[in-house]
Amino acid sequence: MNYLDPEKRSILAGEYVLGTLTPAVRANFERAMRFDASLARLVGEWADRFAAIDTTLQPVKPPTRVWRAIAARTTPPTVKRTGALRESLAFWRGLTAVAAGVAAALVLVLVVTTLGPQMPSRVVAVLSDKDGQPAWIVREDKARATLVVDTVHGQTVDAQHAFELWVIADKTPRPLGVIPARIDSHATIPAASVPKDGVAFAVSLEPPGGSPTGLPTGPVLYQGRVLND
Amino acid sequence: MVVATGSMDRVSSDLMQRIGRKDQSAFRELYNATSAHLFAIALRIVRQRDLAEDVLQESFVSIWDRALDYDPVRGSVMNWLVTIVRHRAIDTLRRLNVRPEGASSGDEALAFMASSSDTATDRGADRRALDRCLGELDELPRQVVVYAYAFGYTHEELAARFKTPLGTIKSWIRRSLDRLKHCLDG
Repeated sequence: MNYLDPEKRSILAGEYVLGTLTPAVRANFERAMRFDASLARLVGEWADRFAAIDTTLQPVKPPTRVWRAIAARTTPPTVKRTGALRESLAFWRGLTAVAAGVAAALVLVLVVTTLGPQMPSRVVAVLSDKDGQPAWIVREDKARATLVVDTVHGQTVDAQHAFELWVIADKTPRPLGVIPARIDSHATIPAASVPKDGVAFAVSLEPPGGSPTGLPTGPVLYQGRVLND
Repeated sequence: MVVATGSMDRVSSDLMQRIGRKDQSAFRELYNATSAHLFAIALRIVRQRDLAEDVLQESFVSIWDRALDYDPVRGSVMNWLVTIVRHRAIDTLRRLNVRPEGASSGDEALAFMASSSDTATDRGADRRALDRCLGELDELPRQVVVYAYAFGYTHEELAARFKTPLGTIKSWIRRSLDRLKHCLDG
């Protein structure tokens, strides 16, 4: 799908709002929109244009059981947290599905990292998006006893959000802090702060300072299992 | 419409921030202000109340989880919610693989089309502008766009309903969107 041609972008945004895109194309479009504010703006313009059709629609009050069902699934906070955790774990369990993509990406990554000027370092994990596209690399720098997190091709994120890295150990996500999205920057994490029994890494979208709860509050966008030596 | 007033939009943008911080009372406020309009939109697409109730429930659970994704650049809160509900409703029909027969959808569509061409003054400037620009489209492409928006018809359903090849339906939609955009912006 061509996201660059201005006319096509607008038409595509219109079709997105209209709802005529196939589920796969719509999902791709939503991913593109997440990192492209001007695409999001086109969608907003179309949503506002078509909303005029709804101005004569008579409201219909839903039965109270609808709110009760929603409330049961969204509160209280303690229930919500276990819910979010379970959901996230289900997502992380999907790791095997992208393993093949990760293996393919790893070949490329190893070439890139061995060509770099830094000390030889071991790739600990490659974090990919839902389509298996690699987005982040976690390397171990044994000499400095750190983990280094690099973005593969640079990410964009608006001022209201930040990427936060998590390690999954004992079925629980542990926060490792906010990681920079720019391609010329990387995060360095003391190896001692990462549990030895970590099985996977993940990156979620959080408020600027990171999750306020100590557990992911936004969508988990990238994931990758820990690769063995 | 009772909810999409200017003041509701200002409140809503702030509400989304609070919902993003998991403020349950803000969430309830949003539900109270928008659910009747959103339920009507879901009903118009899925036609059956039990399906529409599921659509509304799933949509609001997703809104609770995704509130921080809302960005004012995406248009008003209300219209962001409408897009979520419409997509959820369209997905429901895709999964069922059959469009439930509801109360006289054809009649309502015809009534809607008819109402598009009258010049009632109580519809607001946005509606009048859209009506005018829809009116500049040819008859069939206009109906295709309205069916897609109002009833969530897929390309395939539109092709069957209007007895027109799929490729023609797609190009009608693209051309209509282009013309609508220029008409409404111009």
